[in-house]
Amino acid sequence: MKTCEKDKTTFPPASDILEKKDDLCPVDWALKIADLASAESCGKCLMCREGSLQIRTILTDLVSGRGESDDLELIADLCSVINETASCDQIRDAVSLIELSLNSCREEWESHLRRKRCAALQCAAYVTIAVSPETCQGCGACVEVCPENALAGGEGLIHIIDSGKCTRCLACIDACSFEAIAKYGAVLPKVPAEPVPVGTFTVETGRRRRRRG
Amino acid sequence: MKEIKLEIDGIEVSAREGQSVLNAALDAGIFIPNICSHPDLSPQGECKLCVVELRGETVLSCRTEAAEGMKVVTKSEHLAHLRNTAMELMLASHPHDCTSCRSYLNCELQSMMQYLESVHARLRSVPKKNIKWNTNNPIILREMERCIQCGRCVRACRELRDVGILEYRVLDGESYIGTAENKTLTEADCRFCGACVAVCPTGALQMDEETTYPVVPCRAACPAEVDIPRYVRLTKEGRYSEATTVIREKVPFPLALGHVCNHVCETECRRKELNEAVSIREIKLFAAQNDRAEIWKTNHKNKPATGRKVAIAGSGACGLTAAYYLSAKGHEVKVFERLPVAGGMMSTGIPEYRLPRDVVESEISALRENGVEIETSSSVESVEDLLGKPYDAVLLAVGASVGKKIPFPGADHPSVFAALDILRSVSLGETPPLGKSVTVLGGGNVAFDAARVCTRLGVEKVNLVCLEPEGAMLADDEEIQQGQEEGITIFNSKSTLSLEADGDALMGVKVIDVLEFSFGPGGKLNLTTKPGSEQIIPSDTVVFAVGQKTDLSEAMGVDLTPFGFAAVREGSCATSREGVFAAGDTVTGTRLLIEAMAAGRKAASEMDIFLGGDGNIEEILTSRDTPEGKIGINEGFAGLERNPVNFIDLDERLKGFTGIHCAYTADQAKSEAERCLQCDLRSCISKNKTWTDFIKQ
Repeated sequence: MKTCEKDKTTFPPASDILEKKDDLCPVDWALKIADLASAESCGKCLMCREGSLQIRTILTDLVSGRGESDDLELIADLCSVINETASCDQIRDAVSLIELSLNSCREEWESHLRRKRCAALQCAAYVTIAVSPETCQGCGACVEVCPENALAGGEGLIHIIDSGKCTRCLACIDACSFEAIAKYGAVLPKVPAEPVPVGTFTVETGRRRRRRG
Repeated sequence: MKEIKLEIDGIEVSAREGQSVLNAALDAGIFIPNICSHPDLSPQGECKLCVVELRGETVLSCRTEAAEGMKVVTKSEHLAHLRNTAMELMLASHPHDCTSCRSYLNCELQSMMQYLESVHARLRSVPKKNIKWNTNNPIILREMERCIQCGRCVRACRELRDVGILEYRVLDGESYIGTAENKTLTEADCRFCGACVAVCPTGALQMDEETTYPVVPCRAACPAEVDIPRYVRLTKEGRYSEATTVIREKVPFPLALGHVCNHVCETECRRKELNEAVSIREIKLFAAQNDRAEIWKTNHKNKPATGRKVAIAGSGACGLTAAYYLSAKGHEVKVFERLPVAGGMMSTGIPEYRLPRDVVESEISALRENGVEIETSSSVESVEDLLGKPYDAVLLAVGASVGKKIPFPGADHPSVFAALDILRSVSLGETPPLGKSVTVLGGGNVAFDAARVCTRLGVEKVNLVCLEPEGAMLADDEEIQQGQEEGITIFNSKSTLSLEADGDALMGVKVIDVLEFSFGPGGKLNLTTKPGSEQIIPSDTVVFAVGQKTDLSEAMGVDLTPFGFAAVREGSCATSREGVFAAGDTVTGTRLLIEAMAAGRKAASEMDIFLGGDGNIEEILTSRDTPEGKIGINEGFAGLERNPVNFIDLDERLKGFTGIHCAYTADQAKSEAERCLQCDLRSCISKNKTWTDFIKQ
């Protein structure tokens, strides 16, 4: 059924998935492929043009907490229909890679959809950024770079992040010279409720204080 | 051509060599869903709806050549799933407001949705950004949010027209159909032929006002249905005789029409939406003047004599047109003309400077050569004198030859005339007794004819008084402009009160300023005038140009309407008397020349049936070659300007009655014909068959 010669685009290699690297999110990886396939489509075939756009839209929902219960089956079905009927190898390559990710990392896909978790901490919606109160030196570098003003705490105080404001841009992580800021998934570190002087907060005190309260 | 046998869904089907499985199936009456496919276009394989199974594999039937012994399956659960998914993808970015779309119920996408029982349900709705590009265009309405990018318009523009200004484009990672550099259609040198509209399966591409406009507006507007785009094209190709013959297939007076036709075709010309209408009448005049070969004379054959005889009263455009077509059907026709010259208004109404008499004479003599007998100076008083003595049928086509006069005080003065009387007597070589100053009452073309004739007769002062304000006069703009150039003074928004006389001599026309006027039921005039604004326009002669009526009386032997016109059966030419027909101005009152000819055609057809014929007066006098669809790019097409009509200089015009209107030069005619949008090319494009066509079969 090949009628279109389009095959210039180079997609990320299958080895990314096969090697099962810890810091690679297979859903986010699939989204990048769908993005690329959609952007590179010449528009002359429905499967490539609308198919890639549709998969991209569903994947975008999947990584941002808006997935619907049948989405994984839907993506699998779309991939197989596209694979069977598309006019060019480019989109066929793309959906094969997406299918590979879905089939070999099914648990991680399910986790995105149902538990809203990303094990590789790549999907911004499923990640929380937090400052480790033990490591933070209260230098203020992160406060300065945050475009959203999501960081509180003056000099010598442990900085804390307002998750509501944070857009997961990761600028603070790069700015911190003490590696005190990191991405977290399901388990979050214990942090003070408001900025306290550096060195005054420990996990134990935190626990004690809470018990008293 | 080699015939191939294949099996589709267990039915043996034959296909032509090289034919696709899809087309073979459709030809055999087996429907395979499809939407990007079109019978006149190369297959693209965009929509995937035409998937079929061949040797266990899924293939696109539009791109699979039929082969001997092939076994094709078009229906299966799997294929249905593929088609439904394709349909869902198509609909994901398509608006859901079907009922507010201009293509509602005339949309292949909608029809396919119904066939496949598709719903939007499973997929995300995906809005598109790039749909607004280049949607602000004349003539072709582009609602691109309805575009499904099937590519039919792109292929039609390139393959059918060789224009190729439409293409698939990508902007910010989203593809859409547009023009190079997102130019407007005008900038891109679109030919506005409408091929893209004709092949669009959805409501994305529409002709402006499509629902009310016919596909070929000029042809639809012409009362005689002359195939205008065809003769315009033939003129462009230098085939003048064939062009004239195309006109002659519908009317026997191409030259006269070339001079004076009111060209309602131009009023409807679609090119008006780009700049100005094509100057169709001038193209006609040029072609008719340059018909050297006179192909029509060779190809027109009267049918064998039927032995039936027809009498026609009146040799005007209607009577002579009917005479020509009745002769062509083999009937013996005799036309009775009460005046010494034949031609009706063409000879004794329309002034000679607008319609040279040798033109009319030559066209009438061509009719005589074709068997039409005309007896001049012979009036018909009663149909009793004709019917059965020895005529089998009679046509009353005496026209509306009596000029009306409004009974103002003083209107019975001997220096008060009707415009038609002046025009007729001048045409017959007489000199009407006009004074030094003439006031014409009326604002239509006849009023201007009378006024301009007076000017040419040496009247020192010619005035024209009319109810209508400037800009709302009934006469053609050209008449008004030329009349003023020739020295006519126009009094707008004036109502006549009386004609003032001093003893025997007429002194002038008393008028009053009109503030408002309207016509009530039965043509009753409602006027609001300005008190105290009375004035007298000095003149010693007054000419009424306020409409015409017939001179029919009960003595003619047919029923008349209350206004004195011949009464006919609704939608017919038959009068109250069997065997007697009436048509043209005799029935309708004053109308256009081309309408008179159209009426003559209708009467001829109806009378032929009465006389035992089939009523078919259509003639094909030239070969009907398919027009070249590949019109290509014409740089600056939308801006091509209308060639002005050529008139002789004012000094020459005022010297007498020689024709003032000169035909285009060959170059002008060609460049004017080049401006035609060729709307008729659309009729050569096939209609894609949809599933409902198969149910009907």
